[in-house]
Amino acid sequence: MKRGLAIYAVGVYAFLHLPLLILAIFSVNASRFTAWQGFSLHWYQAMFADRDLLEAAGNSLAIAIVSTVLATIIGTLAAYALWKRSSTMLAGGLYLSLVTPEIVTGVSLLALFQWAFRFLDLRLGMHTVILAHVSFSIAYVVVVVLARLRGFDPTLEEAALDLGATEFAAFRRVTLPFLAPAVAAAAMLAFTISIDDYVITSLVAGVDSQTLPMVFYAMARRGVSPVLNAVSTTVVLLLGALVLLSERLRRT
Amino acid sequence: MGMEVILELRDVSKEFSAHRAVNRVSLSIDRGSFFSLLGPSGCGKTTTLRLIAGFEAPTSGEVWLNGVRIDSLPPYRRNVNTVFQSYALFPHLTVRGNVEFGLRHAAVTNARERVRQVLEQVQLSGKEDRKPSQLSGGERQRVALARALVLAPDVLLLDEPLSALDPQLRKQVRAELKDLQRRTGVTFLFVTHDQEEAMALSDRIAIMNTGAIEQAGTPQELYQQPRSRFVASFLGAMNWVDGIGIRPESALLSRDPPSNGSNGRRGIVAHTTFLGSHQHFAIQLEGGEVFTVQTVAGIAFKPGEAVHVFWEPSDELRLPS
Amino acid sequence: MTRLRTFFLAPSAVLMLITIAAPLAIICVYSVLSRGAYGGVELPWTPENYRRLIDPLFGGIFIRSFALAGIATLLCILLGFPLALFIAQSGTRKNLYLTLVILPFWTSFLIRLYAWMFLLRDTGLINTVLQSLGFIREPLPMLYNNGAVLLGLVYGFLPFAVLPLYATLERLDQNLLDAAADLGARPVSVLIRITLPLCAPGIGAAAILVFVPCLGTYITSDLLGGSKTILIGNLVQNQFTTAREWPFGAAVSIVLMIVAVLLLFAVRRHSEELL
Repeated sequence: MKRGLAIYAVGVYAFLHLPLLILAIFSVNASRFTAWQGFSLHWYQAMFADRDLLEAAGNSLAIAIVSTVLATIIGTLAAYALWKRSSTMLAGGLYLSLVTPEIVTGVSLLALFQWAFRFLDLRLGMHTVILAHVSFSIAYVVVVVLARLRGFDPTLEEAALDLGATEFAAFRRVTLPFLAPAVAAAAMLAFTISIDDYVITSLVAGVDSQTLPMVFYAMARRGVSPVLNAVSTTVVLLLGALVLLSERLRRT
Repeated sequence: MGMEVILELRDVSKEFSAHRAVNRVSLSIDRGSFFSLLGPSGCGKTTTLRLIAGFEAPTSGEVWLNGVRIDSLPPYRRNVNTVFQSYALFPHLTVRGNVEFGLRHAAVTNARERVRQVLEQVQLSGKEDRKPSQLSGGERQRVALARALVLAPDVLLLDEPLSALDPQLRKQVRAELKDLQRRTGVTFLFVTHDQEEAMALSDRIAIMNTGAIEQAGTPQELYQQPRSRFVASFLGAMNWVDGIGIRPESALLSRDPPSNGSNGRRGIVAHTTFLGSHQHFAIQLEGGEVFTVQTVAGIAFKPGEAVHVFWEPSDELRLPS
Repeated sequence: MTRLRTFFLAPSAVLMLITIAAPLAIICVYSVLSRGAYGGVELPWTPENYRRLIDPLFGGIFIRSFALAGIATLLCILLGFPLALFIAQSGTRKNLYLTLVILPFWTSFLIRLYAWMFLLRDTGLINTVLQSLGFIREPLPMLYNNGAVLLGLVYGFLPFAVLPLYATLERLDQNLLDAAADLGARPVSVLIRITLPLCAPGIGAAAILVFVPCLGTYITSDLLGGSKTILIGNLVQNQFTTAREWPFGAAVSIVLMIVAVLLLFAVRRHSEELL
């Protein structure tokens, strides 16, 4: 049975990875058609020449960085507080966040913003996107950090208190260093989620702030294009590296 | 119960990447006997058990069961069954479900009857429909026993089955185990680190140390004629004086020097320990060693008193270290 | 102690309140209001939106969504369990195999769907290869139908199933499997009689984890299904953008939420606490 499972596993891994590998191969195909016509990087050049694409990528990066920092901080603190004493309300809210289908999160946030804008003189834009991203990333951060906390010996903090540290100092000097790899891993996770989000972002972004997924999506709906292949490969490589790093950190 | 060998290990070794867990072990176990593998943790006894059960394959050597070589067979093809240390009861099955589990593969016609019989033997009749989580520790152990015994194995392997029980329960269960083995006549191979257990239960014992068998024999042989210091010290307390070993219970105390031909030493009583049915006296000898003497209750020597410790020459154990 | 804890909890609590509780409350309210003249909502209160859900026009959408989500979930479990088993039994290489599953999962769902667009379209790789090898003369219409959506869902969510299945298998006591073998069960028998029953709660949890997002999927059907495959997710998106029927869209969202929450409760009792 073991050999059968191994063969099966190879099949499944091929299924999971081949499509992306094929995209990567064709991103360096000189021809825009499926027939192979030699190696070429000019689709990548076209990618870097597309102003809309670059601007959207810049927006995505900015949004991701800001929302990641915020979500990581808020989420880590929340995880620590939950670990100290559980709170069914907060845990329930986080579960809700994880389980709510993206489309519902998106339209509900849109409804919230439009309602709020009756009283505030604001419109949809980067700030609403960032708020949305922070909101849905927190749950993931909490899950990762809490998992690590479960393996932490609470008597270490007690020892710190016994030796004269305040609660916050104990957290900062004893617990946080232990948590550091998990926090970093959670941050990278939040980053990849933010960069990739389409559904929620497209609903709350407004007209001025296009993100990379939004531009990508618009192009993809019109049909397949070799520039998209290049974009895909680039993004997958970058995010893949980030995910690998995050996994390495999470396992230390 | 004739003197027929049912299980034999011939020069069996097991190497893991870093070290040799089992080192050229040879054993032969008689049908219907209660045999123990005794030794400190890490001595290789559990690995030896797993080699017999089939969860590990020997690096070299042969395992013979009932005249058939089994060391290349998987566990489900060997007619040995194991009582695991943690009992390993299937949580989603009832007591009955657990006990009849192996019968499904054994193609027996009277499964129900056999299950009923074995549950009676371990005194669990009436609890067939309970789940393991609803049983006490002692009851769970009996389910594990029943589950293995119902398959009528050639040898029943028991991996430290008493270690999970509280001390009071342990003595009682120990007696029940011995009784069960006698009644069923199944060959028991018992692994433990508790020498008292091994000696109370076994017909024969093999003492293991760092992967090899130090000595094998009946409990009396091992206790009275140990062939090494390790065996002597492992089975009971020992005093070592000038290379000679004396058991605490073989030594006597008196205020006057012994008149007959006993050997002895002079010393001062360091402290006394009252243990209920007997006492221990720690005697600081002239040479500096501390010698423990075990006596019945009621002997009165006080710390600081000068005494003579003596023993029969025939009680001396001269052993290589 | 509690002061520090309150201080730590405050930001997330406030955020949850504003971005999860309040929006859902607003959607709840909207679902019983009427459509506004210029989009948005206005009074009077009406249960009309929920009544419209029973309209046979939307019946097809709901049935198709549940069916696709159901089949996709089933496939993810069936395909994912053997892989999770393989990883759990792989000893020292576990982390490597796990990473190989996690990697595609976390790198852009959107791009992964696009990859299938690239492969399945009429002039895509699969059709080109099949045609050049002479197996077919006309390209097979593999894109823009229910089958493509199903493929996209399974491809997208398979890792989502493998990870919790692996977690459950990992926690299985090896002694139980040894005991079963000791009692005479062959490997396949051990799998059916011990492993599967003991993993049932984990399998249930994995199923919910896949089913709910599949039910509410939007981009999978939009990119791979074309105009023929409208699912609940597309319906909601449509109501809130082009159709400007917010109250109705809100009602559909609430139904979706109720299904998700009910399933969440069903699973919570059995699965290991994440939070």
